[in-house]
Amino acid sequence: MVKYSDGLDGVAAALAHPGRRQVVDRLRAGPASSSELAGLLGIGLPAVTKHLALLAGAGVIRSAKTGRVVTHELDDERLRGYAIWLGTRESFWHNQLDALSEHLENA
Amino acid sequence: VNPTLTVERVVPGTPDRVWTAWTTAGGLAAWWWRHLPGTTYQVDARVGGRYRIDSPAAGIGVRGEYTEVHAPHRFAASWIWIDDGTDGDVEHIVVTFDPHPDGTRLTVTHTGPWTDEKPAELYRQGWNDTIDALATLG
Repeated sequence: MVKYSDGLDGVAAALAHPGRRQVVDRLRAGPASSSELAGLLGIGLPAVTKHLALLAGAGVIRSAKTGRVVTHELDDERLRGYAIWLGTRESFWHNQLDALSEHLENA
Repeated sequence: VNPTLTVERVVPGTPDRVWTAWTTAGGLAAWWWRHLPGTTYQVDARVGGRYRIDSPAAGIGVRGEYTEVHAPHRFAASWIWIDDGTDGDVEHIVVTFDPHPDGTRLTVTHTGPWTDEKPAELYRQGWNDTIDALATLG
């Protein structure tokens, strides 16, 4: 049974697009401007602005304008479940590959 | 939602050697949870074959079925994390082994689903235990 009360269904919908997930993966490393994200996705500014508005509407990111530059960052609270999913697996594999490297170096 | 995570690493050794470390019980036992006493390894690396690694000490395990096996280049398999005897979602991994001047370039691609109604906390606890245990390996 899906629970809608926590609003996470909106998060899932916002993330149901490869380009928007790419934005989220990028923002895990820190804030970025609209133009940088447009460059990352290889799409125009109007198109990326639509995706960013959708992510902001779902509470996945926060956007702030300074002069002519709009900067975006992750809203950790809303994205927690997804970030945990990615983060735990990323850490797991890095640790496994550390152990593998160590074994192969010493063997 | 099907998030995909890719981790790359260049490791020492030829693709043949690294392949053996991933696809045989003896190979895995030398590095995968080797610090957790009593870990068991079952591996049948052919299409339709299964693998299962269990650590009773940590209460964790992982199992799955091979869907692609091209020695020593690439395999794909399902990935089911087991936390205290409870299966997680059916996720998928693809591991590729490419020759590199310094050994082998490994690429692990891990694909979801991520489902937002799942108790992420339970999952996290299992992985944290694993990571903590790995950290003590020194």
